[in-house]
Amino acid sequence: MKSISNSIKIMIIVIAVIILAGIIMIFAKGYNYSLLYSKADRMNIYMSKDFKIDEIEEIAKEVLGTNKLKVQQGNTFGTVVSIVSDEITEEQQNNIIQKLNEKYEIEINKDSDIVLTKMPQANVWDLLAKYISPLVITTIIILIYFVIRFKNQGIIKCLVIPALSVIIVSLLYISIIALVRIPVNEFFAIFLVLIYFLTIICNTIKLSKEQL
Amino acid sequence: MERKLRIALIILVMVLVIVIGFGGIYVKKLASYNNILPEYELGSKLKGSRLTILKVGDHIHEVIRDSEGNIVESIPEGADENSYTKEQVPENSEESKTKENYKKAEKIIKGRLKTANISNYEVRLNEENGNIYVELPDTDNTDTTLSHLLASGKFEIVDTNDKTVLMTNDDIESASVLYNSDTSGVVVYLDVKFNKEGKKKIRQISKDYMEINDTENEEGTDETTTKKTVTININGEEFLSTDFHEEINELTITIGSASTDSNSISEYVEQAQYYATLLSNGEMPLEYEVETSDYIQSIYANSLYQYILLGIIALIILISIVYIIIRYKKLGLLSSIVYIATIALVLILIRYTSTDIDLNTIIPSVILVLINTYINCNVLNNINKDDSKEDRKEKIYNIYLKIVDLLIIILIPSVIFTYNSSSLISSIGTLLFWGIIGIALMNVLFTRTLLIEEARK
Repeated sequence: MKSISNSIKIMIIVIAVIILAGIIMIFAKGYNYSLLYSKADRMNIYMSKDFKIDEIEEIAKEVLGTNKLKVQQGNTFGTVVSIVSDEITEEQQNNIIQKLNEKYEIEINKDSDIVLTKMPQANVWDLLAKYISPLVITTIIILIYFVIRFKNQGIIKCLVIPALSVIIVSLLYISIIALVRIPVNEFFAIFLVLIYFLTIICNTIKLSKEQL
Repeated sequence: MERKLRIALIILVMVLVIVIGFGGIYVKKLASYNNILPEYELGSKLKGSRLTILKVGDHIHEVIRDSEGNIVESIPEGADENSYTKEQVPENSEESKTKENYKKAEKIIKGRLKTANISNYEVRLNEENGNIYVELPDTDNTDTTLSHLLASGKFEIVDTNDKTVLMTNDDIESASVLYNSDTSGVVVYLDVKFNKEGKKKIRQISKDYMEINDTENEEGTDETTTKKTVTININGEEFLSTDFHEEINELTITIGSASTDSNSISEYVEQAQYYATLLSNGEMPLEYEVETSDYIQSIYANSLYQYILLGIIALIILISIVYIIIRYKKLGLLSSIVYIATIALVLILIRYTSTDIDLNTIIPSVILVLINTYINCNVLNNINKDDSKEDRKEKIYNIYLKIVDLLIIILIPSVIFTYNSSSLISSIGTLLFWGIIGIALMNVLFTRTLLIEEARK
């Protein structure tokens, strides 16, 4: 019994340390955002000819000298190719234009066919914002259900533990992402919601089993 | 023999559901075969979206003033040009280009998108130059939405005669669209609610600008009325001029006229919603203009990424099914057939409920797979090869009772998420809801029947 209690204590300390370290990391260095969510340069090129995205990616890699880039295709009034990289200098822009002109035998006008935008960094809370109200409402209703359905197991088991487990697991997830420097992208919020649901499911299974 | 026939019949039905769910129903139309099931609808994260850069306007306006310093639109013909002065005024002064104003503009844009019920938007601010990056789902209304974002939203109530400003955006709490239906049709209203200070002002204004009877003789016939009116300006343009008949606390303005025509009504609602969106979120501190607005494909529009995502979900399902078959042999195989048919049924439901398939679909998919696996394993764990039909019936019934809580717990978020305004969130809810219903139905109707029929005694 003593050893179980000790292992729980160790686990609580480890979790607390990870969460604390994660919070410090978030305030000190912030998150490591993936390219499309970080501060980057987006170069939109309006093309007059059809192109292959792979070919443009090759050109961009060669000129920018990095693999950390994204090339996206678009379409508004004609065809657009959008190159996103940490930084695209004036010279690199000229080189890309020159290479595209040579490859596709076109004449890209830098003033009218190119738009370079300094993309601002995304905010992690903006990625999460849309999930917050449905998750808070869900949690409140589920906790009320737990209290009504499993009240004979005591308020700690049916209310405190489920509520705490949801909060701790969520904090643990966002701390680990910050500590391990996993790039934050569209999957950040998706996995947080998934982890939330799995925690709720585990709590429900545990309470249901103990009820019978 | 009859037992085997029943099992075979159920398996046949399951195979049919699997074929329809994964393949579709093909009917010959002219020279080719077409699937008559509705197509899957992909969400913006798997297709693409409209990326727009709003930049702080840098145009210079020419302002003409007369000799008294009043701004005039143009110099009247024949007038002495020397008595007019022309000055070049930037649409945004250098002093107004502050970080606070950039943040305020970002907040207003987010507020307008939220009030207008635009879902799945992303807004980012470049704090250095005030540029705002807006990502919106590409629909027929995207251009209209963008034009609404650029409107100044300036609200003023001024005295019609002397142009004294009586109320501004600072007095507004919120604005909304109201409807009323009477014999002449549906009337659409723009309802403006004011804050504490605003209520005091509108009460006073409605008293001051009430129609006044100046003189009245004893018979009450020769009376003259004086009308003092106010003008409501929105976006710097005159919206309407009016007086008041009673003291009011909030402003209810009729948009259009009573109508029974659905097109007219929806047009009025759109107009009212536009003004409600502007007035609810305050006045833009700066003028913005569109620098670029392009439809850009998502990086996940690439079929390779889509196959990888699909492959991950398929792998989780495959592992679950292989586990069930290896662990529970013949009974596991029977359960797995219904398991696959359940997935096929959910796929059919997704098509018919027009649920968006997006990156978020991972959430309900994983949850549903885990729950279905949990239910199947629980049932199979508790039945024995030598059980009689009656024993199995009772055991399965008891297991289902144990997992009812789990199904209810998943139904709660499925309903809450379904009614969320964001299609990204509501698609999670819809999929969870139909998934749980599908799992419950298939397990009760088919898995249970198959397992009971399988018992020899």
